[in-house]
This record gives sequence, C-alpha cells and structure tokens, in this order.
Amino acid sequence: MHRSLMRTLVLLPLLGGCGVFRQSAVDGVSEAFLGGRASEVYAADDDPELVRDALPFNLKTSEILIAQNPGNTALRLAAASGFVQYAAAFVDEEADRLVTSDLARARELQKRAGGLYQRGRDHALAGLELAHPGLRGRLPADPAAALAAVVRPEVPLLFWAGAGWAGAISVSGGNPALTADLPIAIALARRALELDEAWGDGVIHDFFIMFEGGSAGAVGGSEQRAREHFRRAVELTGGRKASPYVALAEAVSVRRQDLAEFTELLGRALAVDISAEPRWRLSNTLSQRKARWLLDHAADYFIEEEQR
Amino acid sequence: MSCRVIVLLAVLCLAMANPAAAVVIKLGTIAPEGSPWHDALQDIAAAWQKLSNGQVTLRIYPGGVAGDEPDMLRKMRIGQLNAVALTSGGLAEIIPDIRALTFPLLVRDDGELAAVFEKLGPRFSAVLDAKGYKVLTWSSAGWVYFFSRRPVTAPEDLRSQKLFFWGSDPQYEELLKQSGFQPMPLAVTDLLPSLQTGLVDAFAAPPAAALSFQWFALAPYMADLKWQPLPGATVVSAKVWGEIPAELRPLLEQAAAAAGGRLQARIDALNDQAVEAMRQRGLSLTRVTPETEARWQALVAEKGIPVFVGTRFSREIFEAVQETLRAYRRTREEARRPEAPAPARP
Repeated sequence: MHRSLMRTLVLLPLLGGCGVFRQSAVDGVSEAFLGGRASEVYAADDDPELVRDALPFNLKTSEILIAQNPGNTALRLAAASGFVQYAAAFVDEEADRLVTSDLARARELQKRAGGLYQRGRDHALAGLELAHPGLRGRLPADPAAALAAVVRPEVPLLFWAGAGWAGAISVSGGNPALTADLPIAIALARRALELDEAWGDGVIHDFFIMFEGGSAGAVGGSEQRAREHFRRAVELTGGRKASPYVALAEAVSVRRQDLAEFTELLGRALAVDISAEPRWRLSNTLSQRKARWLLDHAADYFIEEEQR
Repeated sequence: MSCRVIVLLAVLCLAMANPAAAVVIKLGTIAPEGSPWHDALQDIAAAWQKLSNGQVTLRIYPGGVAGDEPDMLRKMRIGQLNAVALTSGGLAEIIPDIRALTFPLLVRDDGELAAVFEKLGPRFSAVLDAKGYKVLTWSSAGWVYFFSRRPVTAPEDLRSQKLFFWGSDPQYEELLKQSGFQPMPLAVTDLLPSLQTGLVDAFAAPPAAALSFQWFALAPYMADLKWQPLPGATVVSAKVWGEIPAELRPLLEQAAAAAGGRLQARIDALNDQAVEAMRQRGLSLTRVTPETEARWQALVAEKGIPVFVGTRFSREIFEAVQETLRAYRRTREEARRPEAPAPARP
C-alpha cells in the first residue's frame, strides 16, 4: 500500500493553481521567481525536462529567502509545494521507471525523493506553526484534535504537509519510525479536504483516490470511496484533467486486476486535449506520459495481460 | 544461389529453431509494494536479470493483486502464475507438516528456528519438490505476539477479550472455544474496522504488521510472549524452473538464497524497530513472567497437542522438531556452561 500511496503525486498541478504567494507578502524579486505568475508559467509549460532542470534553482532560492525571512508563511508554502512536487514528478517518478532496468539507481532516487519529500513537509509544518505554535508536537497524540484550529486559508500548507509526509513514507522501505506517522499524514490531508475539498482543482481528491484505492482493506481504505473521489475530481475539472483517470487506473483497476477498465481509463487520460487548458498543460503532459508508460508496461501490473 | 548464401540461410534456420529462449516467471505475493519482502524479491529479479543476461525475467505482483495465497496457488496450478512468496498459512496448503513449526510456544527463538530449518528444511524442500514446487528461499516474517485492548499476561486475560481469528478453520476455532477463548473469524481486511467498532478486542500478529496496518492504535497492549514464529518460503513451479538453462539454475538459486539471508537480518531489525516506534506512540509492553509462561505452555500442551498432533501435522514431524530442539538446547546449554577447572596436579 505504502508505495502506491503517493504515485499520483506526479500528477498534481505542478506549481499551478495552488495559491502560492497570493498574499503578496514578499518582495518583488521573490514574487518574480516564486510568485503566482511564476507558478502559472511553470504550469503552462509543455516541456517537462525544461521544468525539471529549472526547478532546483527555485527551490534553493526559496530556502535562501526563508533563511532571511523565517517567519514568512508564503515563502514556506512556496518551498513546501515546490519540494514535494519536484520529488514526486521528477525524482520518485524516475525511480519507478528504473526499477526493472536499474534497481540500484532506482533505490538511490527513492532515497533522494524521501529526503526531498521530508523537506517539503517540514516547510509546510513550519508554515503552520507560525499561526499555531506547538502544532507539530501535538500531532502524534491526536492528529484530528491538533488540526481542529487550522482554518481554510491554510489548506495549501495542510495539503503539502500531508502529501510530503505520505510521500516520505511511501519510499521509506517500510521504515517503522516513518510508517507509524501515516495516520498523521492522512489526518493532514483529511483536514484539508474538510476545509476546502475543491482546492487545487481537485488535487486532494486525487490524493484520496490513491490512498483509498491503494489501501483498500487492511489499512482501512475503500474502493467505493476511491471511486467517489474520482467522480468528484472529474466533476471539478470538467474531465479536462488527465490525473484522476490515471490515479484510478493505477490504484483501483490494478488492485482489481481489471485490465479492461485500466485500458479504458488510460485511454480517457490520453484523450484529454493538452492545449485546451494552459493552466494544466504541464500536469496533463506528465499524466499522459505516465498513462502511456502504464499501458506499455501493463504486463508488469496484470498477471493475465499476455493472454489478452 | 551461392554456397555462402546457402550456409548463411542454414545457420539462420538453425538459430531460429533453437533460440535462447527467454523465461518469464510471474511471482505473486501478499507483501505490500515497498515492503522489505518486496524489496528482497526485487533484488532477486535484478540479480537474475544480470546473471542470465536478460534470459530470465522475474515479474513481481505484490500487495495481493494476484489474490490471497490459496488463490495464488490455484493460479500456479493453472499456469497463470509461476511462483509465489508464501507465508506459513499458504505453505501449509501444500505441506501441512509445516504447521509443526508454528505450533504455539514450541519453537522459542530465532536460534531454535534456524536449527529446525537446518535440520528439517531439506526434508520440507524434498516434499515440496515431489509436489512440483522448487524452494528458492526460506524466510520468516518474525514472531507473532498478542495485541489487545486491555493488558494480557495470563490466559484468562485473553479469554475475557474477543479475539480476531483469521479466516476459516473450524477445527482450530472450536479448539479455542473449548479452551475458553472468544474467537471471531474474520478476513484480515475486516480487522481494523472490527477493532474500531468493538467487534474484536485482540489479535495476534508480528509487530511490523501491527504497526504497518495501524492496528496497534486500537489494541495498545502487547504481551511480551513469542507465541509462534511465522516462517515462509518462496517457491517456483518446478516445470518453469526446468525451462531455465541447467547451468544457470545454481547461480539463480544462490542469488535467491543470498537475498533471503539479507532479508532475514532486515526483518529481525524491522520488528524491533516497529516495537520501539509503537512504544513511542503509546504501546505498552506487558511482561510475561516465566511462571505465567509456564501456564500458557501447560494450556497448549493440554488442549493443543491432542487435537493438532497427528491430525493437522504428522506425529513424526512433531517428534522430529522436538528432538531437534532438545539437541539444540543441549548444545547451547553446554556452550554456555563455564569450562570445568583443570584437575589439580598431584
């Protein structure tokens, strides 16, 4: 379950539509590199490699700015979302592709992704701590109670904290100290869902498609709830975003060994018109790349694929 | 057509008639993706790919996507799967005598389990071989402990709580009832919701599972009593194994055994770390004194042995395990005893 938990993070709206820096609480230079307009520029790009090479500069810039302004929530949010998405889309994702051809390299990348996920999570938690001192220390005892005071404008921080934490668990190889924190990661994402389920163009629903679908059964997930999140994610994005289709195919169709549904969902993901929504261009480009890869490697997921 | 072309065509035809056949082995496991067990299987897959120069591909289907263990064994029989990483429950479907190893409180620690495997492993492997399964590696998922809503040290503490009972095994269930326990037969997927609703209060599991599936949060007491070991094995269909070039097989087997050895060390550490992680999050360990443990032992001997020995597993294997344990304990005791002082010279 844990590994599949975060796979869909590569499908998130990379730095787009996430409310980064909308508060205009930073200076002009910061705004230029990390602000909302910068996010839109990244999100509208159709060249993932260019974005992959450009992002590390932004990530380090955000950390330099944080060092100078540690109490700035907007900077924390920019760093949190940037680190988690970079880890998922360009490090963890590459690890997934290399598992069967270069396992040693795949494991190195997973380890690196784990560090980046945790960095993103820590920036998000630090951002939440600015308004809620001592929050992190209260999370282990009763996550839901600790998060009760968090309010709607803090949804982005909540989500990136949960996503980063879950991502770190997913690549930890079952590390008990990290695995034990899974309820906290889920509580953070659940609180975000409660406060603003439509935030980020349905990205919280994408997260829960994978969590509910990937953990159906023993850990308390549910295929039915995964499908409800899928329905809502498609509704929120008008079917013009490919990520919900890929998430459901990977989390639920594989578990059910339903190759027909898998193929149909990925076909729908590939049918999304990338040029129709510039704000989702990068996300859709990455999702379609993933969909093609999954279809090409269906035999790795379906035991009866070759008898088709 | 020149002679050269004819020779070339002949060579080409020969090559086509006898290609270096690629073997794909599909392996199913209930171990979750990203778990140490899955990692070990990936290690084997990578080693086989390299050693066979791409001729042998091990394709892993983790997380139970290929079904539960009885289902995977059925798929093996009809050729949909070629290999399975089995826990003791699945293994017992093929070789019931393996249950002698998991008989409660019989094998008491890792050293004893290793001694039993060293002595009886080849015998189990031979039986599996005769049934068409080649053992790649023996393994263990650690030790099963009781986790409960209220503290458990003695048998009566557990009798007062509803005990999760995995799957359908009427004989075992009846035995538990006759011994005064309250078994609740359920699928493992029902354990978490049943703990939440109060349908069950206690379960037996290795610490890593109690942590990984978050069951411990609802049953925060762990009795410090190694109830039973959880041995397992990765088996491959002998037929498919025979399709691998003979000179490659020993190399692949060695690679699988090496991965199994590394996994074992990791599992032992993982369970210890899991207990520590759970303790930091509210788990309490209840100590079981030697006197109380003796009461558990007496209960098992009185109720379990008459029902299990000779029915669920053979008396012969049970006695062989006991004999192996006696010999191992004797040797260990002697090794611990301080050397006798040299006799004084007259």
